[in-house]
Amino acid sequence: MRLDLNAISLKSSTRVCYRNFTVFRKTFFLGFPATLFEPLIYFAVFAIFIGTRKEGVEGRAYLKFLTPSIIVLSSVFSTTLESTVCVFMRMSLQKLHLSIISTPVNSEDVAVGEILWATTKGVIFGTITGTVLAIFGFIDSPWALLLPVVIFLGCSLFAIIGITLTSIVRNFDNFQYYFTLVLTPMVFFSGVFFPSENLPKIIKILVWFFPLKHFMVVTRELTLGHISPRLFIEIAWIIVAIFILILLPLKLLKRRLIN
Amino acid sequence: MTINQVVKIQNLTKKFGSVTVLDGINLEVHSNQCFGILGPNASGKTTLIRMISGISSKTSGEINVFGMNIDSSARAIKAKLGVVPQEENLDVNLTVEENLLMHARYFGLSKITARERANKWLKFFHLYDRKLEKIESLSTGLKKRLLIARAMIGDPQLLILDEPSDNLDFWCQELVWNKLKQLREEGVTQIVATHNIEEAERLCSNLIILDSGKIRKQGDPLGLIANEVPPEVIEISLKDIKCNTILDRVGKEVHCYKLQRGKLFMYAYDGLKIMDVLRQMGIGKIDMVFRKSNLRDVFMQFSDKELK
Repeated sequence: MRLDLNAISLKSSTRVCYRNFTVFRKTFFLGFPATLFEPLIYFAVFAIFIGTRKEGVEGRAYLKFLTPSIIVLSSVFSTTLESTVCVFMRMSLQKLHLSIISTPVNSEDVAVGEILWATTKGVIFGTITGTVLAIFGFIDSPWALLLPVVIFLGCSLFAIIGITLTSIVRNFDNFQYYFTLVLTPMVFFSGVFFPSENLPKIIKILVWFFPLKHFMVVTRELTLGHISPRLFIEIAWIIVAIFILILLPLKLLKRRLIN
Repeated sequence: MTINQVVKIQNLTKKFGSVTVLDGINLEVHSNQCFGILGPNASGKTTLIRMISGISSKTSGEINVFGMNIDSSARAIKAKLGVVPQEENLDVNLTVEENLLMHARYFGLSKITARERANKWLKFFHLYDRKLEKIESLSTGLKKRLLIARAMIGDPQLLILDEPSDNLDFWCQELVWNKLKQLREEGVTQIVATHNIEEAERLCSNLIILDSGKIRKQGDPLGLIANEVPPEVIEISLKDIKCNTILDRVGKEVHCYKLQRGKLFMYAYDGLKIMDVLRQMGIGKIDMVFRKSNLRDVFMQFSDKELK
């Protein structure tokens, strides 16, 4: 099955995205506390057990180190949950996508629309978490205002990965492999809870391939107000990865829906 | 292509791995027809209409809808189609009305047009009073009506339905059939895939009988009946009496017969003569039906090969 780029219409994609937003808006306040509390609980726990000790990490208080981590985790988790389990539910149980592609919306538009929506959800939750932490006084650099843009890029990448997986898994249980074998190690090695600078070289090379690592660095540098060439290299890494991977979910979701 | 040709399919084949689901299908649907695809389960009906709807890929062959090729112009074709799936796939997170409005959005309709159309079709299918309800509170019949209303939201020129009366009670079935007839009178061409012979007879102006992925017969229902089976049928429930005893007595009057689940079907050009013989034999009217042959009799020839 050939993938034709002309088969994508941004207008149609936003309609798919809009459908999800409409449903989200209806139930926002039902699910909102749970999604927001999770990262804040992480933060509170660390604040209580570690933050009260005054020794710094990388020369800064640990809580300052942890602030961008919590923002990244909350956005990546909402994007990942949306693009895997939620999309799978809409696709396989509700057969919603089948009804959508019976209209002038193509399967490629559905893929792009779902990626857009999962990304948007990550941006919404990442931004809310960031705002709350800023209110508590854990962010002081004005550069942090650019965070939504960075979160958008980072989350797009995770949405692309999520939709790709959703297009190939047979049932919900298959996602477990991704969560436990990919996502969890990625969180531990990407400098989320502790710095990844002192890892052995071989692991460092491996970690370079983790999208979370680059997303994490960019977010951290921005919240700390460190604007350096490294920042742009990391952003470039994310953008290049998006361009390399973007066709994969489009192709695979088409195969899944059309056969 | 002639002006009123809506669908033209040439040499269409579909394979899933090594299994051939559709094998060399050729057909034409003209405007204002209700075109039936009649076949038993797993005969390839759903696959065929999904391919016409542009939501399933084909292995080889060509499909043209409204004179456009489905491979190159799927989006333009789909804008003129209404599709009613067999499996209910309404958006459970939205209300009845929102389902229609959201579908209108997929078609790119403006908000005002969407609302007008939604109201029109909700009224047409007697759903207007329930427009604020959730999908889960609807009965099977209401869901089916909403599915058809949803398919009409883009004002399609061609409505494609997969088992439209499946799982419906008698009253709802009548309502759906009447509404489909009304739509056809208003100029909406229809393609109906069904295993329900009564449905095919009631709705279709033309049909194909599909079996194991091949077209077995093609024509209008009355023509098919006239050409394929003798005009009269006598059905007898075999209880105390043996099949051979009857057949020996009625002899040459029976053109052909079929035994199915304890029932003997005798086809004849002059059924009354057989009736006379049966009456002499003392076979009661209760166990016997004398009727004109119908599409079921044509269909039975192909569904299994017991006819002798």
